[in-house]
Amino acid sequence: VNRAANEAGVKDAELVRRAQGGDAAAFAALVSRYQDRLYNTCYRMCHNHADALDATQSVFLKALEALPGFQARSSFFTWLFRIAANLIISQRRARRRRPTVALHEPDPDGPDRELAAPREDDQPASQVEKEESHRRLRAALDRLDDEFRLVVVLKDIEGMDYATIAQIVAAPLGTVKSRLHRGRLMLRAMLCEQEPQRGRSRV
Amino acid sequence: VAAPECDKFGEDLSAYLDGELPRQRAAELEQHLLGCESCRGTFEQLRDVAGRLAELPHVRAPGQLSVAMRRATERQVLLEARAPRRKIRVWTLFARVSASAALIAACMFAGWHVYERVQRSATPSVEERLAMSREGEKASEKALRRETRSLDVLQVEPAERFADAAIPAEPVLALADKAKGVEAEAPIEAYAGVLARERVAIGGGELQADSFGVPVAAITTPTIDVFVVAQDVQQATAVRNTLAAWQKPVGAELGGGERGGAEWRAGGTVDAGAPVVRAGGAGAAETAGRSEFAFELTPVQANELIDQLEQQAPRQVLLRYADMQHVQQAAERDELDHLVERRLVDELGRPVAAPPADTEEECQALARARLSGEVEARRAVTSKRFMPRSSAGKQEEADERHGRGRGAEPLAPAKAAKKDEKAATAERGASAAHQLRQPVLRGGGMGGGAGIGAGKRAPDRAAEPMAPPASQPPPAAEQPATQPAQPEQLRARVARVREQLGELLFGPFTRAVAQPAAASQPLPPQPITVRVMLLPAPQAPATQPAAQPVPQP
Repeated sequence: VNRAANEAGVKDAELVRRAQGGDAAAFAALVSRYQDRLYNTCYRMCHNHADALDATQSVFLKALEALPGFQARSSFFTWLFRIAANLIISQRRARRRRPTVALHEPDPDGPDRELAAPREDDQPASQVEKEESHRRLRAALDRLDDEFRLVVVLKDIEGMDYATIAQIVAAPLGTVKSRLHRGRLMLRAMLCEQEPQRGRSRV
Repeated sequence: VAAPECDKFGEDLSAYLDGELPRQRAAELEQHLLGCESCRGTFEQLRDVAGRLAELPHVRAPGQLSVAMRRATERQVLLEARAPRRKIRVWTLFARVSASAALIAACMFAGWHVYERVQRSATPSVEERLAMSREGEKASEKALRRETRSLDVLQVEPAERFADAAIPAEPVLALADKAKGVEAEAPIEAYAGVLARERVAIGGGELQADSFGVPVAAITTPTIDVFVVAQDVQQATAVRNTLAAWQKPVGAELGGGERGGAEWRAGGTVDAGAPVVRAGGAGAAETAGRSEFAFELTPVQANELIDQLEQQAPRQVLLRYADMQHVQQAAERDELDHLVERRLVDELGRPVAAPPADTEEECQALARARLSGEVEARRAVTSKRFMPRSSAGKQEEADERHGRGRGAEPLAPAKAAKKDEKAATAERGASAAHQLRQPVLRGGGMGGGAGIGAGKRAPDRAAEPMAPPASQPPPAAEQPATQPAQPEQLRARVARVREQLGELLFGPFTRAVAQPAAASQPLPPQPITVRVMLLPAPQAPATQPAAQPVPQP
């Protein structure tokens, strides 16, 4: 992951420069480069595909608009995710009154199933169990406050380091650290509520 | 188990887990963990949660995203280009073709069909029906199906497949960059010379050998480089087969439309040159297994060819413009810009800062209406979609052009408006002006387009579908009841429709090809040159430059 990210970083600068010069293809390359990661983040934040799609699209459009002002003080990747963070948080804030029941339901057609890449030695039962575990985890994640969830998603799902996350959420390193810690603990507590026996056996 | 000490570490547990704790602090924590069961438990919990989160499958962006992005970017670019004239940023020609042009073409075809239906519903001759079903319906249905396929958000799967297949995978980008870099080092003239040997004209176009002696930049046809990275031998073979199929001539008969929408490929005097396949095995290792093909195609064909390549090699196809200048010029001439911009301005009464969101819905509605025969819905949509452009001062030119076909026929206001629009459009591409004057292109009336354009200006006309065409019918349509259309007339009409469509799609490019024997003023063919470069997949990732700094801890 690291290597890929760095490789992208080097070439990003060039692509950004070209995109700023009016090369639409360069921007398209940037989009295709990051759309999956961005979409995944949005999906984990919004917990449904429609909102995630909306958000991802808005982020790219915002990026396209703001690109002329992008001064490469951070990497394009960080900048993009920072736009995403702002947008998602404000969007979710606006939609707070949405009923959450539906969001807790697993997406019947969600790509989780296909992408889970079932190993051949996996018994169907363990597969089911795994999916159930994913579902509970997603439900717990969705109950987490946005500020905490964002940090958790960026760290544990996207695998970014603290410094990058700090840039993205525009908070000091210490805040990131504390939010991540508390977010994980809260998640843990929620999961223990749902699956007490598992919680005990693990601890 | 000293509580104060545990408190002291607190958040450090997470940081330790993530490897973000300074070494000394980490050592202290490790020491503490050895003796503190409670903190060990917490640490295990944290590790469990983090591990489970990391296990969550990664979700890939759905296909609609890329489709939507293409469209959105295109619109954005369009608006920026029209706004205080910065650099015109041309989103790919293909986005244009597949997004708006094909859409409008579909609309136009649909419109034309309705018009034809309405005109002829009384006495359609067998020949007409046959010809129409062969020529028109196939093409229009195909266009519509393709369009709805890529547009319809409800049909998620096809759209995803479409878009997923169309986005080049990252290694392709890298390889293409590399290929591009290699070429850029050679002098441009030399490159053009190579081109001259390699190019093949397909259909209608003769080999424009004389244009290759000059630098690429001076070649007057836009050139698209298509990079295809074959992942394995089977894929390479499939791609080669596809390309080989495109090197075969297609029947020149206008009525022969065996291949549905691809009939333009044939043009007139078909003269397919020898297939040019240069397997560069003799070159450096870098170029081993690399083949180049070149085609001269109409935009529609080019689109189709690239679609096919994308089918054969999903996500392994990348498009580049060898000569952006021409694409840009093409875009400037592009009538569609006008249509879209005008619509935006008319609707809001002022230049707009953001595109309205309903364009695609409208077009979708249009396509559905066409397919389910809901004429009313279509009319409502189309009359909203196309607006007449009111620009004065071009009347003279318009009169000249339109006068050729119909002499002293009085002009309806709607037609006048339409002519203004046309004239203004013609004005844009100064170089294309003489082509636009060809009577056959305009004389037959822009079928649905004129009718649609009239919708806003003359509301009374909106009541009868496609009214203006009724007042300026194509010659063959004048007496359908008494006289069954002759094959010549049918051909003429089919050709005219093609021209209208081509006109709408790409102005000057298609015309020459669509009109091979243009009797009075033969025009040089101006197809798009498509160069397909088949590249081998990288053998091992180790060959990629790995000399990048690794700042991440």
